This record gives sequence, C-alpha cells and structure tokens, in this order.
Amino acid sequence: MVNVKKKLLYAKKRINSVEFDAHWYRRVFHTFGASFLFYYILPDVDWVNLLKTWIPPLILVFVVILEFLRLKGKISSDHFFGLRMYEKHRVGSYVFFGVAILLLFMFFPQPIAVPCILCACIADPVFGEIRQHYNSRYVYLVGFPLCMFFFIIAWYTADVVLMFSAAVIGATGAVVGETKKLWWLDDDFMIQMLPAVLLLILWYIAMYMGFTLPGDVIIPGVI
Amino acid sequence: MDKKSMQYIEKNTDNQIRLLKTEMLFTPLLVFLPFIVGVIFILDWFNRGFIPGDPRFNSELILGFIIIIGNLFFDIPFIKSLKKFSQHKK
Repeated sequence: MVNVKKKLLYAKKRINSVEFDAHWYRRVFHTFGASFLFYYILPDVDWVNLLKTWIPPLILVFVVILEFLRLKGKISSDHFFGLRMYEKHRVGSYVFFGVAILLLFMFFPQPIAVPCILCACIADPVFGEIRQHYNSRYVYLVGFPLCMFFFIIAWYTADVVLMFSAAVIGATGAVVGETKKLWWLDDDFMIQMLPAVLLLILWYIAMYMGFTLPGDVIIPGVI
Repeated sequence: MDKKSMQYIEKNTDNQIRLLKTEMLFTPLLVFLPFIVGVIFILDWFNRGFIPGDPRFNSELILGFIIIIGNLFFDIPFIKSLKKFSQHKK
C-alpha cells in the first residue's frame, strides 16, 4: 500500500527546495551579469567595433521577441525558470536588466556605465539578501557604502571633489532606484538608469566647470 | 510590493524538474564565466599595468576582484542548493 502521508511530505520538501533553488538562481543570474563588463576590454579595432555595435542589440531583440511571445501566451511561462508571481503578466525583470545594460553600453561614458552595472549585478542581490534576512533599514546602511565604493573605483582618476560628488549622487540614485519599486518599471532598470542619468548631468556640469573628468575604468585590449 | 507577489510562479512538478535540468546545464556558464572574466581583468592589469608600471590599470585589478568575490559570495549557496535538490531527487 502507498504511504500517502510520506509521499505528501516528500513532495512538500521537494517543492520547498525548488523555491529555494529559484531564489539562488536569480541571485547568481545577477552576479553573472558582471561578466558583460568584458565588452569594454575588447580591442578597439574596426571589425570588433562592428560586432560590439550589432551583437548586443541583436541579443536584446531576441530576448524581447521571446518575452513578447510569453506575454501573448504563445510560449508558456512554465518554460521560464525563476519568474516571480508579479512577472506573470508583466515584462520579466531580465528584459529590463538587458535594456538598461544596453543603454549604458551605447550612450553613457565608461566611468558612469561600469559602476551602474556593478550596482545591478553585485549590489542588487546583496540588497535582496539583506532585506530577506534583516530589517529593510540595513539595506541603506550596507547598500549605500557598497555602491559608493563602486563609484569611487570608477571615478578615482577625477578631481577629488568630483569623485566624492559622483560617489554620493551615484550611490543615492542606486539605493533609491532599488528601493522604490513600481509594478510596471523594474528595479533592475532603475538601479542602473537613475544613477546613470544623474551622473550624466554631473558629467556635463563638471565638463562645463573645467573639472578633470575620470578616464576609462577598463582599457581596451590590443591585438 | 507585498510578500506574496515576491513568490515564484507555481509550476507542476514534472515541468519544474525539466526546468531544473536546464538550469543545471547553464550552471557551468553561470559559475565559471564570471571567474574567467575576473581573471582576465587581473591578468590584464598584471601584463599591461603592473609590469610596465602603468597605474591606469589599477581599476581593472579591483574590478577583477569585485567580480570574483561577488560571484563567489552567491555561487556557494547556489551550488549547495543544487546539491540539496539532487539529494532530494534521489
């Protein structure tokens, strides 16, 4: 005779482990995004530049088509591992993540793009873990200095005043972008774009005022 | 957002297992690629920055370490959870 109680307990245990797994899967997917910084080390030669211009938008177009088909119901959400409940009828956060990274690659200077990508890839999962295990207040206490650190690394070749201004403005933008959640606009987009836009304004102000702007964080390789 | 909306989309168990198998296929890429990129940054700093004494490459060294440490921090619990799931499956 089949032991129903034992089977139910086993199924419950397995489902719990699956949820746990999806949680870490999302976190690892975030940190994996830091690998995209490899884009900047690619050599600055014609054929590589051509690939750098076309491949990232093509990948994003593919992802957007996939997401469009999912939302239209042509592809079941069951095929997408680790999606949250609120993403069932909304564009998945991975699309927002990709759009923001592409915008940073295409339209923002490297000292702005690199720390913003690091905020989304490293700081965002750290925020998530802190929120899950401790009080939300600690997100600000730990997240702010962590994001500041990323901006300082990228701007340390600039004037000291400019470096600290960028670090404070960037970290504030990243923390606000991550904590203020909207149903229709994902925090994976906001954590990158809010500090990037704020820093772009600072960039032009600093240029106008004659400050020394930071150099490239990653210097392209040579063939 | 409320806590309920942070839950994952429920799926039937068979499909979930199939998805997990796909996830396991991606694991080497998710785990090793960031390490490779981190090491490339550190090597680039060593070859083009440290040996010729060019300080412009110092940020690449720090970036390399951030990528490696950041990934290590989340890869360990991720691999543990995968191992846990494999044990449950048995």
